[in-house]
Amino acid sequence: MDISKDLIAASATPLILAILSDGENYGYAIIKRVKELSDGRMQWTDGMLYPVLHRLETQKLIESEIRQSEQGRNRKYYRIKQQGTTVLDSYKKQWNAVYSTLQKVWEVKPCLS
Amino acid sequence: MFELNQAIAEWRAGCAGQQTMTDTDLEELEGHLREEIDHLVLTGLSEEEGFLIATRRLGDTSTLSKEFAKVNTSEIWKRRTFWMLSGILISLLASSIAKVLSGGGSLLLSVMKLNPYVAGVIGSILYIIFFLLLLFLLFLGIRKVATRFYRKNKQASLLFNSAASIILLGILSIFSPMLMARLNSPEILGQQMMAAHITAGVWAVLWPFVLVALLLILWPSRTRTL
Repeated sequence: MDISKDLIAASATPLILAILSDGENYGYAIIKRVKELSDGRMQWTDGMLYPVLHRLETQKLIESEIRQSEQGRNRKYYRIKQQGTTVLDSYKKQWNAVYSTLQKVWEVKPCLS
Repeated sequence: MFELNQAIAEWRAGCAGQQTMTDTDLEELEGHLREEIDHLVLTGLSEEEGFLIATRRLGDTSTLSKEFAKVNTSEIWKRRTFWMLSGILISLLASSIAKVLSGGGSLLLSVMKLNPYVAGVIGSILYIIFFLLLLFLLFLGIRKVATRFYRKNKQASLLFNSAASIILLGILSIFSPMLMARLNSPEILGQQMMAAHITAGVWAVLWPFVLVALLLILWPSRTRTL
């Protein structure tokens, strides 16, 4: 089952913020985590993550710091900021509202009488 | 024989050529690419296979660059303004070098007692030729210079040197008419000056059209959405 591009795009921001709320992380690992969490059902074009991260950074929802990895490579670590947590909470409420609405519609049994 | 570092460098140069990603962006993408390749090699693929899959997963360069263009707008404009201002500096430098050279030429011609009208015209034409030639050479050179002096402090010293040269050459170019006034009678000097100014006037009319023609030739064929 492929998830549509629109849904992937819409869920990117809350997903990234949620992953970062578990602790700081860097691009490659964030993509790995998304694949893991979605059992491979959410297929991102890997490179597309970075412009989204940069947008969140300019919106001051996250911040970044360049540090060296164990292999001596420069790695850019992202960390969620207070404002990002607030935005994430609001996203949670919105997605839950959408989800529960859909659930209600889909759970209605056809009336036979 | 596949050379991984070479392949990555070429891939990175391709991205850099799109002019929408900063060095930090490229560094980050390259880090991602290398990590993915390491991972794929561990699963038993060759470096070449790993490179092909990793670049494929990262997305094609032009789509990526469009996405980066959306977030890097201010960086892109900063870069464009940098090149525009460099262009102005280069044309100032070319103009002041040409002025000194043509001033020297005019001086030589008047010492040689050439017909003052002819000397004036030649002096002005010399300026135009030197100016265009230097403009061409400096513009050819700037790309190489920019890549060689990539570090900002070296670039800054280069820019300051250019500015200092412009001022020094400006001062130097005053001496040629001064010497000419010493060496010749005012009448001859006046004739030479007049011929020079008329030629320069013709050039002043032509130059904007030459510039417009150049801009039309260089008109970007691909319109990028920014």
